[in-house]
Amino acid sequence: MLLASIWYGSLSLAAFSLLIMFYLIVRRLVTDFFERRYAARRERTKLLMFGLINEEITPEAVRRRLRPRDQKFLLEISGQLRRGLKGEPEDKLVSLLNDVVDVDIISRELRKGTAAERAALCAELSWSSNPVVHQALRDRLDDSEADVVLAAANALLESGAGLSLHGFALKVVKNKMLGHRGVRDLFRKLAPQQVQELRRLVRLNIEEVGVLAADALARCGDISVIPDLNEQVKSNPFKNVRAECLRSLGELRHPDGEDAVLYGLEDQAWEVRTQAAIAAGRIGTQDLVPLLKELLQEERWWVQFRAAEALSRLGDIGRSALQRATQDVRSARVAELALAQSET
Amino acid sequence: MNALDRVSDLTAQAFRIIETWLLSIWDVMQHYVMSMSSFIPDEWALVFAVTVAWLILINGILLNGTYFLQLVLAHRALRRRGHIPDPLEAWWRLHEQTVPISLLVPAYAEEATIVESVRSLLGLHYPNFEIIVINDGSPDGTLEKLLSAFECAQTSRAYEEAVEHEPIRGIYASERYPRLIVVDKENGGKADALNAGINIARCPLVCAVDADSILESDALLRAVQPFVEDMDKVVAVGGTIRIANGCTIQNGRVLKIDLPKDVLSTFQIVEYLRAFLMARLGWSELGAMMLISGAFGIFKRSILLDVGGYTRNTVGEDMEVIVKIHRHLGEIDDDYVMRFLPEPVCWTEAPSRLKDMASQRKRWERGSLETFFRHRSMFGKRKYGLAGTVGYLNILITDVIGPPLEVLGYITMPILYAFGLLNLDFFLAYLALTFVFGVFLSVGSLILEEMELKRYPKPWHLLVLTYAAVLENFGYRQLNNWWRILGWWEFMRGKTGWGKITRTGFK
Repeated sequence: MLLASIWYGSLSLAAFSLLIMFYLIVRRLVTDFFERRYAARRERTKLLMFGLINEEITPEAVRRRLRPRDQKFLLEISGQLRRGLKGEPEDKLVSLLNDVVDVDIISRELRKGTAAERAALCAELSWSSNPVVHQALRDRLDDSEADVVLAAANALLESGAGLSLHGFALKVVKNKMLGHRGVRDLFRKLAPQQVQELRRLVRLNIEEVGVLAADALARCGDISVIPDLNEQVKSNPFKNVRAECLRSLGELRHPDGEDAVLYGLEDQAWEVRTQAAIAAGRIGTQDLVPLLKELLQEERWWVQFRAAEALSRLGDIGRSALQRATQDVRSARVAELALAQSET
Repeated sequence: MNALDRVSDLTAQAFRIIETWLLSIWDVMQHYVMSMSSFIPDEWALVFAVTVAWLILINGILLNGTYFLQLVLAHRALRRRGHIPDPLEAWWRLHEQTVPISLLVPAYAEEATIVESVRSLLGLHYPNFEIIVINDGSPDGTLEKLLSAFECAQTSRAYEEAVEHEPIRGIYASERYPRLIVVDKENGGKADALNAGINIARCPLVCAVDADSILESDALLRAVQPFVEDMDKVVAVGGTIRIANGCTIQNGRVLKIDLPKDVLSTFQIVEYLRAFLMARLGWSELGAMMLISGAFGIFKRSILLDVGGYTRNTVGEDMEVIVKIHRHLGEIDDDYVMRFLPEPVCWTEAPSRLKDMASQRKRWERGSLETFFRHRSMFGKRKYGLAGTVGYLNILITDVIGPPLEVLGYITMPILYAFGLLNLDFFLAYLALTFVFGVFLSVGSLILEEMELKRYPKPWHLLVLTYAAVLENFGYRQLNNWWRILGWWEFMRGKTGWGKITRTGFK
């Protein structure tokens, strides 16, 4: 029985797969034909769009001539056009889109299709100021796919609809999206408007959120956040948050960060000491030279190297400290490398 | 040449291969029967027949069951993937969220093609990457060609000697091409060259690329997405390797996808679809992927440092490093992910001569065996998760015991049936598992390709590939298993080294 079923089962599967494959070949012949029609429809929508921009045709006429399924083409084409337009032409295009796009159809489309299609549609709606579209995008913030959530959040942000960083952070934690680079970018984009919220988030007891908030604080364009970063370098229990705060202090390059850098250079975690050394080089205070010299004796190569790099940036005092370090067996290689690299 | 001509040409070539193969089997069978039949008593013969037959049949069931599982998992993975078909759209949507990548390109005696390869890599659509070409002590003019073509001058670059490799003789950089670094080192093999590249690299991700392969311009952008989604958990990502024979290639870019004219390369297209679209994708979905092709794989640099880089003096360094990563992360009980993606594509030239292909397949088999036995202590241990159980079991049945048992079956099953020691049902079940089920799997992979990826632009491409998917099970696959047996033999004799493969080069 088993043996016979192997023979007949295999034969049936092989025959079935061949049948499917022949069906797919025939389908390809047919779809190639429809692809051409699809391309023609897309081209027709594009011409309508150009006619609209050149005021050769009215929005009402366009609405009449567009079929419901052409709405997605319209958004796709306008998305491509908007990338090349800025200022007045872009405003004009947006106002025309407001006239011709059927928001009800689009809102329905946002709930359908694959994740990639939903994400693409969200991304194409960043121009819309329509509350119905905004609500449809907000609904997508609860989507199960990270790409759709991020596309919706970005579209809301770009359209000026507003997005609460706190609410978004909660969704990100709930959907386990904290490791996504898109979340980091969104935090950065939101930073200038939501500094207070970032200050609160950096203190939160969730390491990944703290890292994202610390990173975003460097992009908020406000040096009043330096005391917050300093405080976190000294007191935050998570090494990655401390390291991120030091990275942000390095990016801000403000001398008020020196105190925290000094603290960071003596941190227990080597990752934090490495970031502190980088920040020291960026802030450029020569008071840190003695501590950086000590780091040249470190066991961890990256700490040694970043300390040497920082010294090479700290003017004559730093460079002469490096020159002396080339005589020491433990620090000779990194010192020579940092000096050579600073010359090339 | 139209599709029908192509099909009849392929048939003729395939029949020639089958004929050669059948004649050699017949010779072996005759010899075997003559020598055995004179002194084996009947009851011993029966016990032997039953044992061997069941062993071969169970192996066949396990092997085909594994492939079937892979096919189902691969289908699920392909259905769920988020794909942006248009490369320009992919750029707009993805380029802002990328992670810097160091491309490591080991080069040994690549004088003829290296400049073109590097030019092609410099043209990749990716915002932040560096290319580190490692000249592995080439005896020809590889280094000189690189230095003069890209106007490189000696420079100093700080790096940690984190993993072992042969001494570096010099590091060169170009003012005109700031992304390019050329490293000249003593010869030590591909793994050794990659180790030097890992040390020199400054980016958090490193991508190992073969100097004679072609990456699609958006391959890095697509391949990096799993890292973008979760940089903490994802440790390695592999992309698809496709056969470029027959395609139109210009300036290091695949301009037109077409099929090769020779039957051997056509069979390899189907074989690669099975290996990548079915096997890798299936195992990746399950979390038990044991191999990322050495021609195109992206790794977190820190994980490569943690495992001590690539193991030198091995021919299967790509498989070995993946198993080593599974082992390391299993031992420290870390939560991690390895992914295979069907979309980022690297094109490679497949050997079109039997001799070259035999050399390649024997080397692959030796590589698998080396890795299997080197890390055999992982087998069955729960702490290594699915890699230690399912993944390792898969290597055992497909690479270790699979080929010898299959070849044993080719020889013994017809003899046993001819002598009346097997009944018809048993023999048919064997034929089903050896030949017929293979047709289903090969055509199944092609179905996945057509349903989800549609890389082959013409309907007649599909027709020819369907034909090849059927034919490859009658001769080509058996020939492959024979080469793998020779690989086993070389492994037992302790053979090392890569062997020479003649490539005609991309035209």
